[in-house]
This record gives sequence, C-alpha cells and structure tokens, in this order.
Amino acid sequence: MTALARARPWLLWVAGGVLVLALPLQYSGGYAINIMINTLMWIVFALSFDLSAGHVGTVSLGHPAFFGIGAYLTALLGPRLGLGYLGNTLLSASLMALLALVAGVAFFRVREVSFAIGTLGAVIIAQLIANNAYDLTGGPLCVKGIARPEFAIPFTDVTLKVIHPLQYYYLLVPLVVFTIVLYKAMTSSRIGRAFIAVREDEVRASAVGIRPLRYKLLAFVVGGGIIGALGSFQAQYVTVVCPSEIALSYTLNLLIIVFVGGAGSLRGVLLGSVIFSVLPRLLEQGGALSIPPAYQQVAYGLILILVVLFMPDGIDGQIRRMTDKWHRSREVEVGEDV
Amino acid sequence: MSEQRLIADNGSNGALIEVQGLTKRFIGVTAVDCVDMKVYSGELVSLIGPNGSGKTTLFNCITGFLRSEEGRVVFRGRDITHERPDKIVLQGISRTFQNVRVFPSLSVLDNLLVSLQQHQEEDLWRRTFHAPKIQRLEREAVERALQLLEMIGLTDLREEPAHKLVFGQRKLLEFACALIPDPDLVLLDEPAAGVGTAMVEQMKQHILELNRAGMTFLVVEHNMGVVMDISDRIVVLDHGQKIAEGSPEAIREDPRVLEAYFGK
Repeated sequence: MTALARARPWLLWVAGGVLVLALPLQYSGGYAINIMINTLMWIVFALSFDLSAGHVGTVSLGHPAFFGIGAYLTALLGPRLGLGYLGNTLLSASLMALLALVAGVAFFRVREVSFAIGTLGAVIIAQLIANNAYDLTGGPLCVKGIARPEFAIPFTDVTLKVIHPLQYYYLLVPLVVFTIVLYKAMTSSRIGRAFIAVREDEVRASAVGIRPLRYKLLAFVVGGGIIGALGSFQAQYVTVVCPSEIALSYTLNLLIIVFVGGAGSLRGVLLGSVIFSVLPRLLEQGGALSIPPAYQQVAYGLILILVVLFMPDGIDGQIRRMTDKWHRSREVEVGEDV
Repeated sequence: MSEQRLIADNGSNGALIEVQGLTKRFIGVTAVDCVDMKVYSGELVSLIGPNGSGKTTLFNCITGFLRSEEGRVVFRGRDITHERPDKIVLQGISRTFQNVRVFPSLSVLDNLLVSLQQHQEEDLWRRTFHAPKIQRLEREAVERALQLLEMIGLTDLREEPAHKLVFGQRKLLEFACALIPDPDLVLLDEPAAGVGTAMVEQMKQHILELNRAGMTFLVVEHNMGVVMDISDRIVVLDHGQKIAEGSPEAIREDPRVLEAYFGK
C-alpha cells in the first residue's frame, strides 16, 4: 500500500472539513445557506438515530420527541433561567439524555416491533401534549420570540448577537464535529463491536459477557442527548417552537436517510443526510418537480420500500461492493504481472 | 451471612460447580426435576439422555438463560443461581449453543475478540477513546485469538465475516470463542452434532488435549462413541430426572440407562 493510499481517508476528512467551512462563504444567500444548515442538522439527527438503529439494532420511531422536547425546554426554560446558548444546549442535552435513560429502561423491556410501536406511541403522546397544554406551550399558537444567542467577546464590551444564517451555520458546526467524533469513537472501538454483537444476537452477546440492555441504553442516551442539543439549537435558530417540531414526518426522514444511505455506516448516513436534505430542495427550486409535501412523503415511503427490497444495505453497501470488486480486479491484474 | 455460606459451601463439597435440587418447570412439563450434580476441577463430565430429557434446559439454568424454580447452583463456593448470563460468564463459565451461534457479520477474528473483551476491561470511557491500556489489552487479545485460530485451523479465514464459514468451521469458531477467556468451566452443547467424522475427531482431540491441560468440561452429547471416549464420568437424565451417574463402563451396563434409551 502506498503512503498516499494510507493517508487518503485522512485527506478526505480534511477536504470535507474545508468544504463544510468554505462552502457557505460562497453561497451565503438566504436559500442556499438554509439548505446547508438543514443538511448539517440532519447529519447530527441521523447519526444520533443511527447509533441505536444501525449499530445496536433498536429502531425507535420516537426520536423526534428528543428534538421537539429539547426545543421546548429551551423555549420555556431558557428565558426563565437566563442561560446563554451553551447553557440552553447543555440543559436540553442533559435532560433529553435523562429522558432517554428513563424511556429506555421502560421500552427496552420489549423487543423490536413492540419497541418501535411503544416509542411511536410516546412521540404521539408528546405531540398531543404540546398541542393541547395551552398554558405551558401555547398549543398550536407556538412559543414565540425565543432569544437569539449572544456571545460576549472577551476583553471588550462588544456582544456578538447571532442573527444571520451564516452565523448560525458556524454556530452549528461544533455540534456536527462533536457528533461525528463521538459516533466514530464509539462505533470503531470495542463498544462498537459490542453494539454489533447485541444487534446480531442478544443471547449470544450475553453468553460472552455483554449485557445487551447496557449497550442499548448507552446508544439511546447518547443519541437522545445530542438530539436534545440539536432541538435547542433549532429553537434559538428559528426563535419559534411549535408542536410540529415533535413530528412523525421527522421519523420518516430519519428512516429514509439512515436506511437508504446505509445503516450502521458513517459514510452511508452522511451521504443519506446530504442527498435527502439537498435533493428535494433542488428539485423544488428548479421547478422540475414542485410536489406538495404530502406527495413528497409518499415518494419517500416508496423509496424506502424499494431500498429495503433491492438494496438492503443502502447506498453505502452498493459503494462498498463496487470498491471491493475494483480492488479484487486490481489484485488479479497485479497477480498476473508477477 | 453470605460469607458464612461461602465458607460452608467450600467446606461441604470442594466441587468446582455444584447443582443442588435444581428444578425447572414449563407449562405442563417439569423439564428439569430436582437434579443434583457436581463437577470437580479438571474433570470431563458428560451429560446424556434421550431427546427432551432436559439436558439443554439444565445448561440454560446453570448459565442463567433460564430461571429455575427450585434449587441452586454453586460455582466456586458462590451461589450463582439467579444471576444474569453475562455476569455468570465473567465469573468463568463459558458455553456453546446447540444450534451454533456466532456473530455473522463480525469477522472470525472479531468474533474471538468480542468474546474476550468483557473479561478484560469494563470501563466504558476508556473503551470509547482507545486509551493506551485498551490498545495493550487489544494486542494481547489478538495474540491469544491468533493462537486459538492456529489451533482450530482457521488462521487463513480470520478476516472473513463469520457468515461465510461452513457449519463445521462455525462450530469450531464458537468453540474457540468459549475458550478465549480461559474459563474455569466450559459447557459444550453437542460439540459433535451435525459435522463430518473428520471434524468430530478433530473436536474430540481438542477437548481431550485441553482437558489434559487442566480445563474442566461439562458436555452434552448424543454421539455415544465420543461420550464413551472422552468422559471421566457420565450423568444420565431422563424426563428431567437424573437416573444414573458413573464411569463410562458402568453407564454402558446400567439397566436404567438401557431402558431409557431403548425401552424395555
């Protein structure tokens, strides 16, 4: 293997990093920057979801609850506690991690389908509460006027108020980096190996000393916490939180991104997040396919069915098979030379 | 109080594992019916009996996968009766399964490593961030795994995902996974079932060699040739009850055993 080939994955990350940091400077116009923020948000959301769904094999349909409740926490508690951006984010993250722990202990008693349905019920209940607890959430009138993040610049009297989407973009980048690093650290370590063991055979996992519940909870709590932080960002970005933030359409989006992109694969989930955040907007923008959102969901549903049937390990699986084939054909060539 | 019990147990039997009056009932069936048995350190004990006599159920009760209604299991002087399976294996009881379970998408090597890692290190934080200690443990684990792969002859397949192995190879892999933590007691559920004669012979040799080196085995097996060849002692179950126990020679002649297997 050449030095370049060995360095390539590292180079790829650097190139990706530069792109993520530089791209919005080129396209800081309203629409494009919103799509980019949206893409980053789905990366965080989907990677957190994939920790459970792709690695440990516990597909929850309730992840939007962490997002929506995380947003409401910032909307309702933020002004009362007077926390800044970081405080709000950490509060939502820790409380959503706690919620994930409690919900996990309750829901992981049942398996697979029952688990999925249970979490589905939970997110529907959460949305009903958000819609109907007028005194608390304002119901469908939403919570409005959430404060935008402000940062005091050290050694000066200047406070930087985050207003422009471009600023929000760079505010979001650290959370994205944090999520990717944590995802990578967890899944490529011994923990990741235990995750896969639990996904593939819980009984066998127990027989080698792995406690399945512990790893299911770990993935669920870490994912829930990160999504809580993301919800807090959302609240401070759009400055309005509505019951529609606890939406089942988010679940459908997560399923599409993760399973079409490639469950359990960082590359797959990143690809899925980018494709399904950018593509629909581009189609709308170009006027090529100005489909109403409801039909878009029907299309997503169809794509999901087709992928599950014909591409069970998603786009990432396809890429892996193609590169494997390529490597093998090269090995043969080299072999003939010698 | 628990300390007292610990001392009393050690004094009373000195067995590596002792099963006392163990009973497991399913609806309408008593699968294991008040079974007493002991395995001493360094022994190779076989558990035989007709289909449905409760052998695997007894295994599952010992290893914590099933909850027994009565009786207890004492391992190295410690009551492990209702402990979780993952805790029991970490105390030194490894097992294989009748229907052969490996992790299909993990590589052969990773199957071995994942079977050892919980024995080595419990700290989640250090495990996540590859602390130097973990890297050292990982190197040790790989070394040990390669030794075992050499032994079972799967070295060349170490990078292949386990689902690509044929049945006999999966069986050998599962066997090696049970051995990698260097357990005090290995429970094998039908190690010779479903594989060709050459593989049966290989498995037999491995078990005998390890047993000679001091490893303790409790084996469920239907292949009487194998059972008679390898066992120090045989325990016979029928309808959940222990009907006989003794040396291979004694069991071969035992009228109760003949009746259980062939009828009157």
